[in-house]
Amino acid sequence: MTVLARPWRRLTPTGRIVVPLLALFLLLGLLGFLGLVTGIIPGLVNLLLALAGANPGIVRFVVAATAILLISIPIAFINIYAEMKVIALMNSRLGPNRVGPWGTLQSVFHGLKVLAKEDFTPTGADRSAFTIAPIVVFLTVVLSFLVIPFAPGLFGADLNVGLLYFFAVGGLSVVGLLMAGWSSFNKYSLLGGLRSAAQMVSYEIPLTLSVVGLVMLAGTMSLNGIVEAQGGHFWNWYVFQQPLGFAIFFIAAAAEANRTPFDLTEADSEIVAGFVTEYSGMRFGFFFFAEYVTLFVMSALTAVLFLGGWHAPVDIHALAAFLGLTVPALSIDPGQLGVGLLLLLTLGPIVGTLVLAVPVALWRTDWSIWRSLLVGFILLNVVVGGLVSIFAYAAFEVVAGVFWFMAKTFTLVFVFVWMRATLPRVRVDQLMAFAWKWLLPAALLNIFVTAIAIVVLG
Amino acid sequence: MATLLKTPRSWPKVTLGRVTANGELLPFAKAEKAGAWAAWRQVADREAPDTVIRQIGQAGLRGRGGAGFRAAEKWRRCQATEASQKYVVANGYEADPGTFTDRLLMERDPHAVIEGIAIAAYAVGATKAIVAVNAGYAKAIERLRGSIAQATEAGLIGIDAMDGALTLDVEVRPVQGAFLLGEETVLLRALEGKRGMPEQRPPYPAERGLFGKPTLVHNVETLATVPWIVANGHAAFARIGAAGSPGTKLVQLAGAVARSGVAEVPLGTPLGEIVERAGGGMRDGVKMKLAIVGGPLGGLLPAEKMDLSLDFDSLREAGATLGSGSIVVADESTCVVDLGRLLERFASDEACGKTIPCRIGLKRLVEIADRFAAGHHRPQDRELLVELANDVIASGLCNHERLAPDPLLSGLRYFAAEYDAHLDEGRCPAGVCHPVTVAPSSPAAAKKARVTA
Amino acid sequence: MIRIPGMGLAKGMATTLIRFFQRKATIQYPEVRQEVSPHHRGRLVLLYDEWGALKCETCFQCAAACPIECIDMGGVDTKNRYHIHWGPPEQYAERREESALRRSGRPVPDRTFIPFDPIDVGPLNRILEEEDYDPGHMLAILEKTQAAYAHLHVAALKHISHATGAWYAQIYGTASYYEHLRFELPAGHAIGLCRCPSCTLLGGGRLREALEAAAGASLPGTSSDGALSLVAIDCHGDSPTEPYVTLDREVQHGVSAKSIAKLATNLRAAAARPGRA
Repeated sequence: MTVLARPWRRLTPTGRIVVPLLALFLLLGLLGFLGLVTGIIPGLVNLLLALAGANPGIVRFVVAATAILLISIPIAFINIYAEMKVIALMNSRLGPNRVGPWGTLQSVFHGLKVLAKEDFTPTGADRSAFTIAPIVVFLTVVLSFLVIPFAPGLFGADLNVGLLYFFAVGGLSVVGLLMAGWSSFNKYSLLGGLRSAAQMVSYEIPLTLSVVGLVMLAGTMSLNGIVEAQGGHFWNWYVFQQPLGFAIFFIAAAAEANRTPFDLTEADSEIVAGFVTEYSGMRFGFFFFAEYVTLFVMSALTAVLFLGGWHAPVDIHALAAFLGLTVPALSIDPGQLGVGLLLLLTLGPIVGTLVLAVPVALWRTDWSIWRSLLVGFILLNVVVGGLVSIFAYAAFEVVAGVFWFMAKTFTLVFVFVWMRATLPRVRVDQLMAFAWKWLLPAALLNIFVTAIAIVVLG
Repeated sequence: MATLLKTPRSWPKVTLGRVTANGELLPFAKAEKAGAWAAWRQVADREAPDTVIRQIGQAGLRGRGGAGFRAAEKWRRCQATEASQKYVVANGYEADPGTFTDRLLMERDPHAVIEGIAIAAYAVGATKAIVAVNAGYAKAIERLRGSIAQATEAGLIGIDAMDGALTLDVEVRPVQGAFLLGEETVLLRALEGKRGMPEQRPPYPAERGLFGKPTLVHNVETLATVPWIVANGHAAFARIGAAGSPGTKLVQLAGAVARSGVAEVPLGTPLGEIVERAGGGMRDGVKMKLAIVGGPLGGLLPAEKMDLSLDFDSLREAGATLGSGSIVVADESTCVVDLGRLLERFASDEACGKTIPCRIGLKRLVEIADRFAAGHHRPQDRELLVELANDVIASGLCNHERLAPDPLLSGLRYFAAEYDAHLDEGRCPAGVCHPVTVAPSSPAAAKKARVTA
Repeated sequence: MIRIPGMGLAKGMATTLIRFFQRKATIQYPEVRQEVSPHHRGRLVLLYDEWGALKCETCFQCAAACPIECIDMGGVDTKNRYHIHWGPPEQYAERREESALRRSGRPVPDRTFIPFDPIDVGPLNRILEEEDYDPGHMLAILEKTQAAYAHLHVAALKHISHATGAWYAQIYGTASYYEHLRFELPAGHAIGLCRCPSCTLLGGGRLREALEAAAGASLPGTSSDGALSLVAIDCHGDSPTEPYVTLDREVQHGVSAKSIAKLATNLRAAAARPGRA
């Protein structure tokens, strides 16, 4: 090891990341090559495939869980960045614009910063509870991802009590909060945790009750089923059939996610940081990310329940049938191109870059050739990416579904952030009063009216 | 007792051309007939200021205050700077304690001084002039003021002078208080009512001087030369004197000469010739040992160097300076070490204290010189003296610092043997220094030793 | 107007949405710098000229222009009758507070001034009037003050500072530089000695050493008992045959080191009689 110690010392921090990675890749490449050559890897792969074929459920679960864990962090980053940027733009200022293009890497660095902070446990704190609390909170959020349908066929598990599962798992986060508040060995954290728990619990009731009407209309608690029940054009969405339910659900969702105007548990001016006062480093990072993933999940759920999930506002095929047209089926078989494919793959990028670099060079005459070529290359990527996306949208239902789902979800995230930029915070007594005296009776009213309507109108 | 020495007829009289033998002033009309204010009438409102400056430039006039800076450069710079008000300051302070050349000039021919100021003011565009005169020169102040009054009455200067063509207000201001007031920027600070410390140059007073306005500062002797140049032409002036140092200089002879006083000497004359022809040689029975050339901050030149010509450059090369034009001759009874010590003490006392090398360096030089004279010097003192002196000169903010170590440096240069006698042998050849054993080398030294014992 | 519940919410949300699309106020420093007016100073500070006199004319325009009314100004009218005040009324007793006094232009009791003996400022006011209260004439003012009061009193310098606006420190600096200005009362007698090369060659060095030893002071300076002051004078060629020595401005002839030492000692002894501590 000493022979490596000296060159290791002379590396910069970036070098210390890149060089081991490179070494790792080389090693893996070598192993892979060896494996392929000797036939070990194909044998292993065959074995795995046989196992997978025998247990589709488990495979599906494993894939889904991995995917969910992997996407939840980038989603959190995007949400954090969107919040900073949108609130800033609404405050007539620019927000992060230095780190990365338009400040997009800011949240990544926030995440890294949180990782780099000192990770300590306060004296007197209950160590195990202190450590597990953030995990509990984060896990509840990630678990609730399981039932959300992103696209037709693209969901973790189609439980026929999906909605109930969602609320049940979401309720577990209260346990995490209480654990955090209690184990911090800090009376303010305890108070904050209790308040937070009270808030979560009181708003869960309007939350669950507001969708009962919807469940009655849809006839199923399966989220996939609810989405399918909203098929067709946008007037089939439940937001038009359950406006009050939508309003109650939205408000209660904001309270569940600890978003303004209901964020007094984490507002600095209220109680320091509430139950997360004593947390630092990655433990705090878990709470932090959990909040933003909750935001996404709540928006996603609103979209699924009330806004039609992955349905486009206008069903292309139904519209075409109505107009008497047919939508051409888009199918391109790359194999048919033959040699043409090879030519396309090799010459395409070069020709495309050159073609797109010409107008750039003509427009910006003071740029060097290399700069114009680079911009041309980027434009080529954009154009090709755009074309591929459009093709994918048209050819694959899944892509279209994901696109619409994400569009609706992020619109709702924008609305939540917009609310945060605009509205003042409510007091804790106002909070509780609102939940018990207004939202709960309103939700009950909603159920009552929906039931009568179903009976009367059939 | 401002004696004007008789000089050989071949020596032209430029600044003292109109003085009377007894020093009495002529009435204004007679003075005008003798040539006073003729140049002004020729120039004022007739010649372009640029022409005047060009004439001065071609004449090659160099400042007589001591620095020897080309006068035309200053004029040009001052004229080129735009300002709402420009000043001309005539330096008649005469800081050198033993010199009275400027006093003699101001007393005997005040018209030349005022006329020179007027021409300079016209050339650079100044409307206000101040003549800073030593407060102890009561007679000079009175005569200058009289000259101004007479010229104002004659309509030559003042408000709307020369038939309303120009305005020039000349004021005489008595100044006193420090040796350093002879330095141009210090004088300007004193005239502004501030502490008299020199300023960093650039910016030069010609660009930013009195109250921040372009100011032309010249010695009264330089200004008194200007009317002659204008009246007689630059070619005539350039013919007098030496190449590179044209014209004459008022020289004061003192010390062990037969006749002491002021003489107007063409530049380029050898020093020995001046002493002989104007000063009448050495006093009876006395041999010249050295001459202090240039005032208290001048250099000590030995008798062998008396063939040096009196001009700015050769004297500077030799380690002395033209300065105020003072040549003080010393005989064999003078000890170079003691003399250097006393002159250095003067320089140190008069330092204003603004820069550290001057304030402390000169003090240390005095201490080293005192140790030389007392005989208990340290082994490294000799090299330290030279090094310290060179450092002081190199870091000079004003000419005081640059010239102050000259008595010691020139003494070391030319009288190394005497320094060796003091330092290595512990004896003073002139019999002056204590407690070194006295071995008088001449009867004069013995007499002195008895007197001071 | 029917108060629809939720209208406030909607209006607020609408405002922020409009702001979302409007121009942002951020200036991207350091690529872009804020334009400031050429008069901008960056700090709330009054300007002084080179002598320390305030340039403020008390024209009240700054207080009138200030958008947040944070400038509080006070002044006295020319006949010293009314004091004019611009700004919010003081919470503290306006007439007694020192800062309020200063703002209103009334004379502020200067606590450092009081320990020094006061002087009769009549002659000083006349001198200042003659010199037009101009700090540029400071040397003339100081010389005339010394002529009137025999020395420069601290109270006199303070009065000059108050009257001309020049900083006291500047006046003190000027006064302490020039050798003819003195802060103490003139000593009983003054012996003057020239230090020019000619006088030095004629034995001035020995005279100086003897004189300094006898007087217990350096040249220039005053002896410790204040009886004798040593002055550096310039002979300007008036004494070509012997060192130039003066006693109380009268030229002395035939002075030797011994005689000058004796003179100095005698003068000091004469002054050190009982009754004069």
